[in-house]
Amino acid sequence: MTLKKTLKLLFYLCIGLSLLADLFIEAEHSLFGLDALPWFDAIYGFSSCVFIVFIAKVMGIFLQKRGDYYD
Amino acid sequence: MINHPAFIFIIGSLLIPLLRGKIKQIYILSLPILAFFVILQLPEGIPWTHKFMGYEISMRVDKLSLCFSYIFVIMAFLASLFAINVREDGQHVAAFIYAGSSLGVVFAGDLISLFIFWELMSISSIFLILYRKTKQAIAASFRYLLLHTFGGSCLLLGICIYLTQHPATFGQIGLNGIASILILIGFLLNAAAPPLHAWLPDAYPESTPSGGVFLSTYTTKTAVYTLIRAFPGVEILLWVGILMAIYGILFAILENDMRRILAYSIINQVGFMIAGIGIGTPLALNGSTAHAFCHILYKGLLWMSAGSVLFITGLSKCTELGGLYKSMPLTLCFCLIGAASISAFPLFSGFISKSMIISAAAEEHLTLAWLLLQMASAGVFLHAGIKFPYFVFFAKEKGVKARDPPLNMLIAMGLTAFLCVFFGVFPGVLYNILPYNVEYVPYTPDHVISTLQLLLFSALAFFILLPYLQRKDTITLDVDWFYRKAAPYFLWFCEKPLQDFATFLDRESRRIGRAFLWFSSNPLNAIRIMKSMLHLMLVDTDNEIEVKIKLEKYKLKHLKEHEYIGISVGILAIIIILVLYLLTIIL
Repeated sequence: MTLKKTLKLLFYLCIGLSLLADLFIEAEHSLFGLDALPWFDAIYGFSSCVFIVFIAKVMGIFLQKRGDYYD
Repeated sequence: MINHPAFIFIIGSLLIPLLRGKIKQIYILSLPILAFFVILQLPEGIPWTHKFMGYEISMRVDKLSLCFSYIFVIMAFLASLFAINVREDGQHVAAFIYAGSSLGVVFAGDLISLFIFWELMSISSIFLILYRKTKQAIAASFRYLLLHTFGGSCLLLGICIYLTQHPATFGQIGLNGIASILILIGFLLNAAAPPLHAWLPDAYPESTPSGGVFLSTYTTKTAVYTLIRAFPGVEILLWVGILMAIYGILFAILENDMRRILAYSIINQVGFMIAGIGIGTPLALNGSTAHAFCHILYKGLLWMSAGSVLFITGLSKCTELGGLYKSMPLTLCFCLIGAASISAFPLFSGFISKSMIISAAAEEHLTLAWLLLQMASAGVFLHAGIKFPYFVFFAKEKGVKARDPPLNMLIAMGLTAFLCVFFGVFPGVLYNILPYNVEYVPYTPDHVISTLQLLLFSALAFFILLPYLQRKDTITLDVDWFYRKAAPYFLWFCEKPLQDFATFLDRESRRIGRAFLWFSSNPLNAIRIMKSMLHLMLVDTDNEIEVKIKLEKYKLKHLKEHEYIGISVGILAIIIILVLYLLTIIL
């Protein structure tokens, strides 16, 4: 259990550090303005994953069948 | 011809069944090493040409073909090491013919030898699935064969039409005309682009534990090579690639079988490469080549770790696996290196190659494409980076008895993992062998931090959404449903309703024909018969019996006696028919 907790702590530490570091780094190039803001990638990454899982779930309603469907 | 690396594999493989024990193993491992040295000695240019049926057959060596050939040979060595204890000689022979013919495609300077090696690839690769010897594997390999025959036929037809107007040299084709479309379809089928992709997640997961490692390396990547060569900068490929990248993720998230997850992840990764080809700038093409190079390593590594789990436990479903981190710690370690590489973590090989493609999209100001590719990058970490290791090695303890695989498999995975990290840390080694001279620096502070944020927050999303990602024993229907489920219904439709309708039409048209024959054999009498019958039906007369007797008399003489109508009536009939005919033409 302690190992699991340590790993969790490390994970959150990494997240915090990456967010902190972004504040001190100048964006090299910007495609449409928003992407040059700090934390854009964090927000975009998170929302992309939520979106992808949502779409996959909706597809699953129609496309998922029992394991022996083709047998 | 002797210095063609393809023939070292193809001819060399035929000796494998004659050898035994340690000598056989040493021989198998030495063939890729020999081929590697032969490739190093190859002069750039066209080492030889040969006249064949009026066409020029040639071998071409340039930076693009060399780059692909290096990784093909390296992976042939690593995969053979992984498979060295496989008893059946046939598997080794098939794998080497497969690897050799891929090299043949890469070095083909003309379309004719390209096609021959292309077909040899699809035929030899089938055996890597057939040797699994399960019912599902045999059925899947037949479907694989049928689909590749279709793709090969498209390619052949395209080449035949193309050769009527062009020389046989294999170079840039570009998208113009039916020939190029057919060739593109042939290439895209092997690249597993939807909707021509279903053979991959259908057949690869049914292959033998080591066969999957070979399969994941060659077919799709030779297709990427041919697309870079023939269709660079064709815009539709950008969108085909993005579709593949996202399609692969969506299905991988729904999948339960670990090797099926990896199969969909191939579609996703090849999508990045094809998007790069669609962008078509030197940086993007370099990116696609580099990504194919790195992808072969880390995807090979992931297939090896999945193969090890399958080899040891005999299981491959996420619902049956879990908690293997205690019993297979080394396999887990290598798997995580592969997972970090495919997710493009800084210091791993995926980072230095995928970032080139995404940077190329940014440089060309393709905002939508850039956003979608970034979304796909986040999704890669979701399915291949975390989901695959999490459900196989962690998640719930299922009490599956396991241990780390034999030493040769561990060494093969260790070497592959080493290369994944090596190219991630020293990207210059790979950048030096890429086809175009473009300056690119992957490790900038902005780039590293934004990638880390993207990936870490994807991981956060995974753990928050975990309740929605729990697996049940399900499969997900894909395009192959159309030929696995819908095709039998289609056959039933052809055999029952359609056939009944055909019989009905046949019977009725014959009846109409017979009526015409009956009428025309004695028209005057026929009119009399019809008149009498009408009379009986419609008019209530007293002399009914008289008319009936008349009718019988007419019927009796109908086919026996011939009466002749006057010539004037005949001419009148002809004129009427002519007028009708003219009317139909005018109208």
